[in-house]
Amino acid sequence: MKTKETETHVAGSEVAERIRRSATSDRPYRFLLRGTALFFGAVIVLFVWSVLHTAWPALREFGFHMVTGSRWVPGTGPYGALPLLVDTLLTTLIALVIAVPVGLASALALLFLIPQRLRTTSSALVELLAAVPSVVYGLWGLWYLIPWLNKTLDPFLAGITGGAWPFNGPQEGFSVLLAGIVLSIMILPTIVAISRDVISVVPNDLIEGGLSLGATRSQVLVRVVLPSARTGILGAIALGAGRALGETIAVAMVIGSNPQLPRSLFSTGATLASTIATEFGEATGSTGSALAALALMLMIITAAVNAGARLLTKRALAHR
Amino acid sequence: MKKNFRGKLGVAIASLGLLSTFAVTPAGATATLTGDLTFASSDGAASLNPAMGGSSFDEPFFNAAIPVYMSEAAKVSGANAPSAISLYSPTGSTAGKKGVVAGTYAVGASDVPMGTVVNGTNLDASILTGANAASTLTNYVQVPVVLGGVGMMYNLPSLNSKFKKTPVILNSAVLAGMYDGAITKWNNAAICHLNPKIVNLKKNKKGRVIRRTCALPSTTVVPVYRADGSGTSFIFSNYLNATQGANYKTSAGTEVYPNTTFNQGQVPSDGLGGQKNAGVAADVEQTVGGIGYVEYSYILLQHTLPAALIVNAKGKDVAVNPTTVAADAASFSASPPSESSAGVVSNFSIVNGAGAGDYPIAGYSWAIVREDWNGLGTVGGTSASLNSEKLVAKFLDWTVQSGAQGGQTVAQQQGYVPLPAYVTTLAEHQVSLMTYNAQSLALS
Repeated sequence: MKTKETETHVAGSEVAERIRRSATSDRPYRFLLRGTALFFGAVIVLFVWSVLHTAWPALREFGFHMVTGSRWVPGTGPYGALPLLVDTLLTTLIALVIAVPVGLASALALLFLIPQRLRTTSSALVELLAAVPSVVYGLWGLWYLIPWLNKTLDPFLAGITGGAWPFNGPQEGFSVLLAGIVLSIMILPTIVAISRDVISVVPNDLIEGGLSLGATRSQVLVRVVLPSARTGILGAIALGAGRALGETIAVAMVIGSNPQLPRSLFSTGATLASTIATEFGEATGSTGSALAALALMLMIITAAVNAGARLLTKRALAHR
Repeated sequence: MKKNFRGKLGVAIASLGLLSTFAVTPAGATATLTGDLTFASSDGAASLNPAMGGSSFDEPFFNAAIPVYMSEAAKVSGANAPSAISLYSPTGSTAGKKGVVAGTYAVGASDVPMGTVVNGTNLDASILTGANAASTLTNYVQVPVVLGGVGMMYNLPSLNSKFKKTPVILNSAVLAGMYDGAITKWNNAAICHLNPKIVNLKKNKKGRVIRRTCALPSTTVVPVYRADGSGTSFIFSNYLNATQGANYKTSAGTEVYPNTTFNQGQVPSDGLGGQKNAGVAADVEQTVGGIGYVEYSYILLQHTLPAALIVNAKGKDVAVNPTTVAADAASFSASPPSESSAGVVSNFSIVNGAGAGDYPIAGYSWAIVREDWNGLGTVGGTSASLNSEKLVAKFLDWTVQSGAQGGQTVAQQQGYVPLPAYVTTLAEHQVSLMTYNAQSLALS
């Protein structure tokens, strides 16, 4: 394994070196490529600058209170985004708690358990979930999941825990729990598709080696296949989390748009993205700037998730 | 579909009956305009397309009125009539105002008039200041275009079998309590007291009633409000302010965001936010115990849930419908929306009318236009010229006319209440204030 990879790497860099030293006739082409790369770099820089520029008046006026304050009152302020931050992270966490085990199990099933002739169909069905527009998920949540939560899930959860935290409080259907459930379905195809792809390239030698040592099939899947694909799986989770953090319309339709710190999973709430979407149209004065500050926070969080995933990936690679 | 049609027909018939009730003598401004559909070829109106947008409350009206206007004008002016006007963009009341100030809309509609002052704060201070030269209200005219009521829609299925014909009665104190978090259960003593007919009777063996108990359920009250900034929220909080005064825990500021006003920015933790009128209606439908404020047509035309009767200033329980909303507007004939000598409109609030038949939660919606287009460059995507300003002025004047071909007839068909005569007069006078390079537009 190791030698093979290193060889490819060396070969790759030689090719790149050869391209770099190539004939002068390639120059316009090189300029074109560099120009395109620079253009996208410039777009990102300008984009960040414009968000920062719009958010600056609010950041200057309210400062750190925007992150620590717990009252969000559009129109006049105060603009304390702590409830929005907490609700954003909480809904994403709920989505991951549901979608990661289900997604990994589906990926393993698609590769190892489902009969060959059904694999293509079932893969296509899972990927179809990714093609459904998010507003459709919102409507589904509003029309079908809310009655189900009201009649079945919420009373069940409150029943088995005796109404203890976090399953206490009034049950309205609209809740951070529902937003998390809807998000989990939305990020499932991402997690399934990517983890299926990375698991499928786990070398057969490893799997056969495990089996020949007397391990059962489930032992091989859990102890051999998943660990050797963990880098890619982390990437899949990070991409899923990125989508969940930034999802707007579906969340705005089911979370209840009430910016408050959650008292339980049945609480209504509002996320960073859903608040921007619901309040931007009518935003005047300081509200517009405060919403830009929310956008900035969202960008920082998603960038941090991406960076974290990269760091983990790098470590995982280094351990190989 | 069928149900909708019948509903709309009902509104149209009910509204037509009302026309005769507005024989109030116009005070102040005199009616001068009659809705001008004539265009000469020198008007160049055929290809003009001034963009309009704003309040979602007005969307059904404008999108029905624009095609009707073009076809009516074509009957009079043939090929010279405007034929290229795009439909209205329902981007929201504040977006409508911002669009007019920035010149991206030729006509911007808002349920909250420009320059509204609440508790000493001018709601539009941040819209009207800045780099824009036209920072004073005298640079704009405001034309009231439609009148509508706001209904309190609620969801209590347990009352459906026995009390289907007995809508719940609420008053402003109870509504304020629900949205402030002071009233949390539907069988609260204050609500039971207002609803003596919603009772369970306990009878003795002789069949005589020995005890009456409140039949309202102990369901939690879930107040549903608009999560986006909204003119409907403005009308509702305007009503609570006018009726509850000191009891209502209001705070100064932008009342288009209800959660600014409800309990000083703290919506009850059971509260739900919905997007636009349709979102509030959907949230109430999905939530047992929910109550929400929506524009009247959403209760009548699209949804199956009842609207509460509201106790008005005379102590009567009144349902929301075109008759009662029109009666409320008529109660303000002595102190109607008025103009200053500089032509700035004020005194537009029509909540809590004094008449016995008045439904107390209602308001006008306004079309806002720049008063003089000379030197503006581009307005609403068309070049600012005498011709384009004239077209917009003629269109607005037509929208407020109630004759067979007038815009108010279209409004009635869409479920709105026709403007009272003295408000039409004000609207016409506002349009007549429009000038180009300080010269009158000479409309007829």
